[in-house]
Amino acid sequence: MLPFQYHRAEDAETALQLLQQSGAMALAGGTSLLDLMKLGVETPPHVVDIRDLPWKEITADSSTIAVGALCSNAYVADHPLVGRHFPAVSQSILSGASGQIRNMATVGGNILQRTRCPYFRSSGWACNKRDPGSGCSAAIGYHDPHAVLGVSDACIAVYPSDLAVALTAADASVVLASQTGERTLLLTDFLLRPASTPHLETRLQHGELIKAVVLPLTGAPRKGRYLKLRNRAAFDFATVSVAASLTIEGAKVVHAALALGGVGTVPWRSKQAEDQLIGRELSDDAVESFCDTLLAGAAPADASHYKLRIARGAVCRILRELEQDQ
Amino acid sequence: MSNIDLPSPPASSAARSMAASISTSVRVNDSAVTVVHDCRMTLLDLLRDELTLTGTKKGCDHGQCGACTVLIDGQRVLSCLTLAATVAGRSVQTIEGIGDPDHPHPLQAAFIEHDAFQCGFCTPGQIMSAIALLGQRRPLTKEMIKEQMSGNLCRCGAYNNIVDAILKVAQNASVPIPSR
Amino acid sequence: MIAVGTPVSRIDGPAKVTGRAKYAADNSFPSMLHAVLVCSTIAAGAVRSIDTTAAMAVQGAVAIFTHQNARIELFGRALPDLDRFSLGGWFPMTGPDIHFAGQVVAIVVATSLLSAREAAAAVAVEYDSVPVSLDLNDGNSAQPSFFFGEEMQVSVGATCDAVKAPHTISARFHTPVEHHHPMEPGATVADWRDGSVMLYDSTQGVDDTQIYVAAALGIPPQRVRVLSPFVGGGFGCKNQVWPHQAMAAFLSRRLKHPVKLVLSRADMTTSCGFRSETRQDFTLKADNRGELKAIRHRITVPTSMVGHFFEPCGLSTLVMYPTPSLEIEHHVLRQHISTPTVFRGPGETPGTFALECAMDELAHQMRMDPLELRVRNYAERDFYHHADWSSKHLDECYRLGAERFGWPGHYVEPRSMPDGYELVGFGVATTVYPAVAWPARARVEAFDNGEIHVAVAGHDIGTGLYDPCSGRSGRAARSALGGSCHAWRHRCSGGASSRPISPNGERRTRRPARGASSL
Repeated sequence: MLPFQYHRAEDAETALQLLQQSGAMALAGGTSLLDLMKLGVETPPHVVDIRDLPWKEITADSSTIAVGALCSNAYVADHPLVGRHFPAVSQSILSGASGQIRNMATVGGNILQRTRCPYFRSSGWACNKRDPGSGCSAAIGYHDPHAVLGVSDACIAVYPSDLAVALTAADASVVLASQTGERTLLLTDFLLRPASTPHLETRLQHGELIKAVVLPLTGAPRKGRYLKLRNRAAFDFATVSVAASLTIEGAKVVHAALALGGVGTVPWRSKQAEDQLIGRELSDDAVESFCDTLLAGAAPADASHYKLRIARGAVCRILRELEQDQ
Repeated sequence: MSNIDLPSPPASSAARSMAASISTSVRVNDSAVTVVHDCRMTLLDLLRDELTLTGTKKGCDHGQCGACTVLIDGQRVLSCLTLAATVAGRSVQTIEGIGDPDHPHPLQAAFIEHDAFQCGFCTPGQIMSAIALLGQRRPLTKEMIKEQMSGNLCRCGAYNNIVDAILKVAQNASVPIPSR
Repeated sequence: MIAVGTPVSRIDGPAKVTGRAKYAADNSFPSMLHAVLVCSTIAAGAVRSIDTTAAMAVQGAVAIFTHQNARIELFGRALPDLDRFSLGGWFPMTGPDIHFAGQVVAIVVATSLLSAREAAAAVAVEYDSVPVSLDLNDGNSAQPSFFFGEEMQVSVGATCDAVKAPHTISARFHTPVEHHHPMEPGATVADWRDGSVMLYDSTQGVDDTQIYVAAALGIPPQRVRVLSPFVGGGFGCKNQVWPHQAMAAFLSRRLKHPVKLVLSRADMTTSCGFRSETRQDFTLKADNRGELKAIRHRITVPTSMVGHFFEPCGLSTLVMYPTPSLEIEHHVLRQHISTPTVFRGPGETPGTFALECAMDELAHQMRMDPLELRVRNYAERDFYHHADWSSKHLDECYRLGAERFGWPGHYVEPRSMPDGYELVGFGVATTVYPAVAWPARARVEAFDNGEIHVAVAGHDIGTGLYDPCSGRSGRAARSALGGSCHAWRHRCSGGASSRPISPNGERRTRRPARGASSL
């Protein structure tokens, strides 16, 4: 780990000021940043500890639930408001990492975590994300667990956050704070696909912090679930995961929202596919054409092709389970 | 390379590096300590190298094995991914602060009774993780214990006995929880 | 001897559950230095240059050793009697050649671990890289004759091809690379003073470590003392002695300070062996009752360019089932990988996986209960070695297992047993493992104050060294020697090479030897 200056910010204003320094990075739970600093992947000359900032509440009004970005993952997963209105969010957090990491990690940090691609994490290998223009080792090497959707010639790395998949399905937004004010973006706008600039993963600007995640309420709580399929039964990243909510009235689908994890360079959702289900019965044909639309444009490599089949199976399973939940 | 001029061995870690140093005051096992250390130092290395509390182990140094689990203000965390500087003003509890051979914590006694270890290297982390889990005061089944303890790896395969030991203590309502 | 067989709590339990048991890296000394490995990022070729300027400029950096400045001192001599180690006499940093990714090309020593790691990351190595294949179809192949005392190329009876039988299956199996990854990374703390070195080590063989380090440093074995009272797992990777252990001793002698060298988790994949991948082709031929008429087991496994260990997959096939025709062939390829080593059930683990899968596939082809197939092929003797079993109760296991598992007792179609979203598989796995006993010695002293001191050279890796030396044997010794119980106290000390010789802790040989020798 390279030497750095450690700063502890007592409030948001100070934090945002300190983050103006060249190369400065924010430290919250440390479960991602310290890991990457030990690997030499992140080398900030200034580390700004933001854990004293007050963004640790979960509040609700008539139309939204706001989750402070410094809420620990464990706190969010166990919160009654989250459990009642967004069970998939709660399940997604509890399916990830370990009890220890969930205590330490924050909501903001969870969204900003970086890929587990072994070539990215190891400085001996060419990696366009870590070292722009150097090449993609995974494309010609080991890529079984890599992305099949949203990929480019420059990068096929999977985005690893479970929480972000559930937030995507829930139409979440992120509130960003900087010295010049605040702005709000849909999470699906905030997270970027690699295209030709895989080193740019979000729209977070230098000197900006995630302040909160906002989830829109839509009347009565919906049935929602998170399904995670992976090599180990626990403490492992997703091979394929899916977050979904579904409402069926009179045997017809009136609401469907579904996002895939483990298969994309970002959480993968298709409003077009969801619209195809509205007003229909949840027949096998309907589910199959939903999958066709959702997975259109997939570009798997030989070794990652299996993910498409698992994704279809996972989508079928979660929709049938939600149907039972109604 | 035949003439190597070694710097004279430093008396304290403050002199070791021109990398930014910081002074951290923290309670460790109910004792107040202040250590001057390299900014980069993790809580794990502070405990093991500066405070000679070697009960907490370094298994992977990247948050993937749980052997470095300690309690901070009663919550289980990974000390290898915690910068020492960030624990200023807080209360840290390690395996050494839970009990000793003459006065073991009930969980330590249960681990012995149920043979919940072999090589013993993961054991301090398992116990600290389990103490925090028990401190959450939820009713626990074997399945829940397995799920909630999955952040602590054991390569010797003592898992079944670990679960039994934790279950045994979970069923005893009078177990003390470390104070915050 | 009523003490043996009585359940006891581990005598080292209190130390382990309270964090008081000391493992190698838990030892620190005043003015101790820290060593970190710099490892090759290419698999084949050579080091063209190493620039240590930036690394030595790191605050706290003390010394950096490479093949350029340590070649002669560091293991540049012939090393006798080391053939039994996976690596033989090969050491890294004796030249520029790279034989595997992860090969040590430099060691950085600094006054703190943080400085050592920062300096190690700053060592600039340039390579001339040669592309190589790690495919099991490529590589120079050898057919070794013997390994672990068994023949590796076996042909008994008619060739498999010549055997006519109504049922034949041929199947290919791959097993992947497996890493030991014990919870405790390998660690050595070396303290050289007055011509001798004390090593606080994590090893399954204190005596071998003593011999190896002494040979590497060119000093008599008596000048090397190895302490390894508690070992945080090994599963075979700490059964061999590895270069880094001798390097720590070398550094301490060279720099005249205690040196701590702890392998990182990443280092563990290439610095202390692993189980290689295997490719195994089985042909089984059986008559209409399912009795085997031919077994052919062809194995392709790699070893490194510099070592000689390979995975002897055919070991179980030698004895598991009787057959008039038995062919076993081991093809070993030299590849640019780090050297494999023993790993829990070396040979038996991947070998019985393939053999038992082949048997299950034969049963499926014959529409036979796979358990019944095993029963019909029960080996009443070890026919290969022409010997009787000392005891065998496998038939009882089959019977009890069938009862307790609720075995259907007949053929079952694949994919016909769902359980929620999962399918229940159907098959049998049997294994056989040699239980070898080697001579060992223990020293027992009885004192006037009632203490008995039992000393052995060994280690506790979770198998409970301290118990047979103290708990059980202590009670047995008491009852043998007489005297009232409360007057006898016993101490056991293990894990030190100055104590009587003991065999390495692999293949589960230690406990019978030491318990017996203490009595």
